[in-house]
Amino acid sequence: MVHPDDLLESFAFGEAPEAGPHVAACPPCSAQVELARAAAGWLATSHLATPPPGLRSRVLAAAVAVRPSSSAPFSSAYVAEVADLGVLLDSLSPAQWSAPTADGRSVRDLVRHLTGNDGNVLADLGVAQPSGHLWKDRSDLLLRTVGQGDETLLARPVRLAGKVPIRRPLRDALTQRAFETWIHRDDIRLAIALPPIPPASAHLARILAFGLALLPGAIQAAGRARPGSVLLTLTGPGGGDHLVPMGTPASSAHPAQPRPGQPRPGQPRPSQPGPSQAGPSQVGPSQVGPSQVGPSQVGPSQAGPGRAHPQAAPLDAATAEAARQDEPRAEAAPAGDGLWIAEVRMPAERFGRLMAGRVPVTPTIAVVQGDRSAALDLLAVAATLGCE
Amino acid sequence: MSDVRSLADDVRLRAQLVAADESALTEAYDLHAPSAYALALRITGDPSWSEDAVQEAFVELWRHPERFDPTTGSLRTWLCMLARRRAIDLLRRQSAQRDHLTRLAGQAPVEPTVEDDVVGAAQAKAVRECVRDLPVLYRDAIALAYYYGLSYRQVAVELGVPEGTAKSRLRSGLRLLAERMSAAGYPMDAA
Repeated sequence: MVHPDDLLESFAFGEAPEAGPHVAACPPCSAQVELARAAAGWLATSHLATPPPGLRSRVLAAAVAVRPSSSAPFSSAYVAEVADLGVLLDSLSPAQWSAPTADGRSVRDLVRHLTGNDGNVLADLGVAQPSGHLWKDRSDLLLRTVGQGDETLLARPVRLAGKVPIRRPLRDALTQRAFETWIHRDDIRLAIALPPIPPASAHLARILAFGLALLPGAIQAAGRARPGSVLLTLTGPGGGDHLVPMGTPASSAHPAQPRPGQPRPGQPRPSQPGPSQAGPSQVGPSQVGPSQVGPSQVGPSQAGPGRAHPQAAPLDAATAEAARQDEPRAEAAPAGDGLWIAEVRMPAERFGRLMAGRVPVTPTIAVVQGDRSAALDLLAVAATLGCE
Repeated sequence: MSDVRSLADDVRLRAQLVAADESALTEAYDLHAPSAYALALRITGDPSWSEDAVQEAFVELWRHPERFDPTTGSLRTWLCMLARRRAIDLLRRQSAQRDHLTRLAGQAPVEPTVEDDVVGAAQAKAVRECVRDLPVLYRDAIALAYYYGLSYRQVAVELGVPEGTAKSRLRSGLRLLAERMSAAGYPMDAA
């Protein structure tokens, strides 16, 4: 083997790219480059000087002139999850890549699974993909594609991950990609004995809103529909009040708006915890009634990858419009079908894991008031929307 | 040590940049432009060229953020590498016949011109102290190779020593610098 000895420092300093393949395959040269690279890194930062004040704006203008920026709140959750998973994967030892996950797969298998689902979205967008199966390459390409996103691209239907082929606009699929990436990141963390970490509050709220918008249709398709809605109170970061129609075909869940001081007509909220309550509530009493929530639209579908509902169906135009919202709805509007019949209260993060099938539905999973059967049906169906 | 780079922050910025999030570029500029500008200024000695070098470094990062690999070094180091390359290009173009050794000998130490509370100030101070304590023979070899992009052969000519000696001085100097930074609490993988 001929070592490019004269080029190692130049390569470490960012030149002589021709030395790259040899360095990557030669431990002694790689060690020499690593040392020189570190030293160069320190040398580069030995001094600080305030740039002229006008330079900042010139740099930004020059940058967006060659590549337009994309202010895309719909992708922020996925961007954050890609970053978090990237840090985790870069830290894995060879043994950890082979560690078994809870469902019997390996960490490597899970990452391949994610890579494949990222690739499906890219394929539906008609984006040529790199050879190989590196997750980072695929997620980079998906991020870059999204970064080019105009409204036309974001509205383009792509496959959601899951066993049943369902297509949704790219903007929604990105939230599902964030959901799946979060859940599998935590699958990997558990496999290597690290505690799970929830997404940032705003990102968790977005993921939950995506899943909740799909829940009424799934309830309907599961044969557990009934009149009325369930008030789902999700506590903690990412939480909020959501009124979930129990299967009304042309309804969906969206945040309810508390109106302090205005009692809900028709059905008083129980004032004392019942025997089914698992623990103290994290939110104060709210006065939320169905009259404050308007009809919304969703068809049966799936929130997460994997366990698609067997009767999932394409969404109608109104559903697509509802899903265009970047943030969970905040506006209240008249209800269509009457009162809420039960309240389910649980931490938002736990509900997200439940949606992913990572938390079993047990009698003590949530604080339930009112129609217990309806509440448990909602939770049971929510738990079928989860990841593989 | 509070200003040692965070790998997680760099990975997050990279993902945002790939997704064309302009706020990430702004954040990167605010964090690292003082380092890149100071380096370009050291190399070129010319504020105008230094601005060009910094601008091109950040535009390059914006165009191709995927090329930044956080596992091989920090975003600051990456940006400085881009700025250095451009600054050396400008220097070569403008002064191909320049006497590097004369220039090096006449180069006054650049003192920090930003406040100590700027991110990176403590690290920069540690680097300056480690470099200052290097044997002068090593310092000259490093400066010629790093700041001016000279090859071993060119360094040897400038210093009037055999190529093998130039290489030995450069490598010994870089190793000593990395060791001293590590001893000062800045490990190699944080560069």
